[in-house]
Amino acid sequence: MSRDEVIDNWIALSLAEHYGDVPPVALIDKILARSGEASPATLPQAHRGLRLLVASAVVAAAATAALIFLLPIAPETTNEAPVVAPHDNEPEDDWELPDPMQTIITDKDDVVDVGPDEAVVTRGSVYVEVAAGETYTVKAGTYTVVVTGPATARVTMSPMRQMGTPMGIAMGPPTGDGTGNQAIAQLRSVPMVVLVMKLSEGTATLNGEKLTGPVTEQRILYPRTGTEPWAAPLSMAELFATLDENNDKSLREDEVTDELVAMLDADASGGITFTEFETLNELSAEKTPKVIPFSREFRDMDRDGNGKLTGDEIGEGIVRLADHDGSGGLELKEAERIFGDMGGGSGGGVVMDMFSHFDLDDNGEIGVDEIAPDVMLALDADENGHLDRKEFAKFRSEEFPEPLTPRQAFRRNDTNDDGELGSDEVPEAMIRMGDTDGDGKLTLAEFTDLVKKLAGEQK
Amino acid sequence: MPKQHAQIEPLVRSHYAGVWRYLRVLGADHAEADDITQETFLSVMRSPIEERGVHATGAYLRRIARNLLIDLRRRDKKLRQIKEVQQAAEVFEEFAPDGGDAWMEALEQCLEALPERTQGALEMSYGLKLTTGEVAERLGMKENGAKTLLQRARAALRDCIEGKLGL
Repeated sequence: MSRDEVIDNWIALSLAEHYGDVPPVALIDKILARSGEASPATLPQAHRGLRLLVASAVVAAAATAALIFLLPIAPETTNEAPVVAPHDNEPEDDWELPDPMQTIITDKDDVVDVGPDEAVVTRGSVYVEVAAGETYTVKAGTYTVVVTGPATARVTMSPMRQMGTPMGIAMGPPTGDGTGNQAIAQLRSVPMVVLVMKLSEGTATLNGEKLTGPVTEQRILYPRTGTEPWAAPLSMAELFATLDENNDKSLREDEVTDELVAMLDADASGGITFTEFETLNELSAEKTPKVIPFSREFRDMDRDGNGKLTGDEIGEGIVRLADHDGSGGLELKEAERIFGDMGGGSGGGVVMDMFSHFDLDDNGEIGVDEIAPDVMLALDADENGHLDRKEFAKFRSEEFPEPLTPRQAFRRNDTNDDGELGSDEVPEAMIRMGDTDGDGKLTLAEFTDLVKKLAGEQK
Repeated sequence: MPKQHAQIEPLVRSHYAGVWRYLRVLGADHAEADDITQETFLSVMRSPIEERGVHATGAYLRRIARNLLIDLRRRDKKLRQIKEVQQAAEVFEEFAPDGGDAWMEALEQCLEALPERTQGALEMSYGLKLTTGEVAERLGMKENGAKTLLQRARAALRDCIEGKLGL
């Protein structure tokens, strides 16, 4: 319904009211006569459920940030979400594109070795435009991409820092080399590299697997020896670029913690410049507060990065949380996991009622558009159409004053309910760290020990 | 009268018409508007609100009413209508933050400024609920002429109301 239609309809109703179709006065007596009735409470129940649903998404994000290596996007959703990578947010028109259908290599970061028909990418991006009849090979870690013209493609290698905690939380004692403290060393480390192969058009192969554009493929590489060139530690400049997600050359509160900004923002500009950022090396551990910010959780849902969460963004966050088959919606089994986590048990009437409530089109799957309208009704206290950081923080503290226990976190990650965490449920790096019996999986005991170990390292 | 009645009655008398009108603008039919208006006040009785001035209280009641209507649409699996409710609610709050009293007052004034023949056509259509053909017959004009007359009357009213409300 358009705005004009709403107003036209309103005028018609107003005319009807003017000519006698007035609000019935008898309603007053009816209301007063019913004043002792018990509450039907349909709406509060539904909204309570929704608040818990959103809270589950929040907790999942918190658990990810606190307990495992924070991937830019979850492995099972690699085809959907944009990668948060140091150079992936640069505008496309930064690339200078000569005449079409010529082979072009853009050596953006001086970390691409370019040959006549081959490039080796260790860090940064290479853009390839291949004419008909030509092929071009890009080697990236253990992967080989062969682009067959006519085609255009971009291959990016983005090192990811280890994120046991976001910046500013776990600033440990200075390391022995005197160049910085443990936290900086940890942030600079590269436990994994994300390879993104974006094929705009044409065909290519990725380690022999045939691809037809437009398609985006993502692979995660883990260093095995620690000496791989693409796994070299991040420089301070690269770390800065990694944190500076909006690429404005300033780290602000939504990119790092409020405390870190307050600590390093010498010129009180509201953000940290690179020069200010470098002073991090000189700070002692005692000056750094130990806080757990929610900024990462907020940012994970805030897909357009405007600092405001819409119903759609939160709805997407909820679906992402439990959409294990990647269908884009929540089937009953997937929703059961969330509602089961909420303490309502699984398979019972509560789950069915909630599922039915949200599944408006009765297709057996809850889509984002079926969640989004209620999200704002349940959470948007000031009714301005979005959740700002303040509202989100208030909601989070109301719903989850306590962090998850290891057992709760284990259960949340054990998506197939087999009592073990496999590589399809948590990152391989995590299994490698905690798998003491070498069976390739984490038991609850192993997981608990690992969490304690990680927590201990952060103290 | 029980104590609760004594407390709630002034609230009901002051706001029931605004809530009912609001629900109709949001697309509720008569029966729905009746039921949800009652549920809105019952909801307030269960968790009393602070008296925050007539406008703030009206806005609070409208929010409850809107949510109840959306929930009704949701139970009926009417996703499209949920969006329409939300759109209409946004327009209403823009035009009538006071609940529509100023709007109705403007409408009365604007109606008086219309020619008598046009006022008569509107009364036949919206007061007596006559069809356009019946209005045309009573005015001695063709049906298309009556249709055009009513359309122009509504457009003139809209312009006039928006002008008086400064929109």
